[in-house]
Amino acid sequence: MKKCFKEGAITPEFIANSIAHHQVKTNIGAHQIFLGQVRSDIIDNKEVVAIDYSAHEEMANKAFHTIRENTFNQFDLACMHIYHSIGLVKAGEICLFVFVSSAHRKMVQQAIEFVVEEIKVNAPVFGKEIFKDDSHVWKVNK
Amino acid sequence: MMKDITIVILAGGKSSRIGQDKGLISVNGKPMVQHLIDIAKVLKLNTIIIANNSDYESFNIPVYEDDYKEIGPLGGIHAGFKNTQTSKIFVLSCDTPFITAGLIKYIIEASNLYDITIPRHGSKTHPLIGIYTRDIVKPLLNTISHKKLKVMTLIDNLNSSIVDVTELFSSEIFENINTQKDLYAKVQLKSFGIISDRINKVDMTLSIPNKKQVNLRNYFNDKWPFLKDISYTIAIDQEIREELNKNEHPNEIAILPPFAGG
Repeated sequence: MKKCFKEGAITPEFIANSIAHHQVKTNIGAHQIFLGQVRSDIIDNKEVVAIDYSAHEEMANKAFHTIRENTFNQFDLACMHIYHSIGLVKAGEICLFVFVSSAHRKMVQQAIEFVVEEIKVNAPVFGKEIFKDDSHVWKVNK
Repeated sequence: MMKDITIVILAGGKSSRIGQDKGLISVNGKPMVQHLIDIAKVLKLNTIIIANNSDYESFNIPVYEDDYKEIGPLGGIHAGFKNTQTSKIFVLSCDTPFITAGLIKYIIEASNLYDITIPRHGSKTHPLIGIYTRDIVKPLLNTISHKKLKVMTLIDNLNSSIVDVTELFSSEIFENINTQKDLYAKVQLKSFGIISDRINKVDMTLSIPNKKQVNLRNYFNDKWPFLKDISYTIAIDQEIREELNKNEHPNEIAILPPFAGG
């Protein structure tokens, strides 16, 4: 099973490399990328400076695997990648990178929405929102 | 007819696999031996316990040691006759806590013409749930002196009746408890996020009684009342479900707070 977690933030360089790797796949006519970024929410007058991600990694990798299979079954894709951060990601940094590719744009537009929603609902990933004073609250997906 | 019977609970066996005296282990909230004592009370039958452990005296039932130790149930049956005056004894092993008064009555009613009457359920005979008449004491001692220590050997050689109760009683009432494994699922509990914050541990080992099906949400809410106010999901061996089946032994149970990926 593919491992989808990356320690810390997902860097712009990593994303750029990922795009570059697809230049050899000339059957692809459209890519769609979703990037989740850590937002500096204000909660009770305190500013979130980072999210510390944890997960039931084995179960989450299985969930990502199932999402992949379901996505490939529903959409005509050439390839897809999911990367999620584990550990500390500072506000403004990237914590989720979903990358789908197909021959045509309609497929990837629909697929990306499906994948991101599935991840939010089905992957046992937990986010500790950390404030400047080191206190924290636990994030809940809306 | 009922008046001439004493219930003899055999609690003399070694419990090496459990590491604690078997009959004292709690099943569904009370010691196994107490289940049998309560049934004897329902039937209004006198009861004694054969045990080599003075802890059994706390049940307010006469406790006697057996003269023949280390030879298994035959020694207990002998001690049963030695310490009672009734012409029959009803033998019960302390590790079968689910026996019912109905079964005992049924066996008593079927026992009139025989020295020994025991039940069979499906392909299993149960020599330690049965009625024995005082006439067998001599052949019993004879069997012991010949070092033939299987109860079934004695039963086969006497005027015995094995009554088939397969259609009348459920197999569950015959279940015997031999190991801690029969009573508890020992599992790794993994918790996450706000829940591990509150429990103060990420990984811990839990012994969950699983003699019957357990709803884990109720079990956890009782154990950690703060969980009642938190929305969470339970996964048994990474499969999302809440009912731990009877006798199920999963490797891990996870308590998952609301997901927050992405």
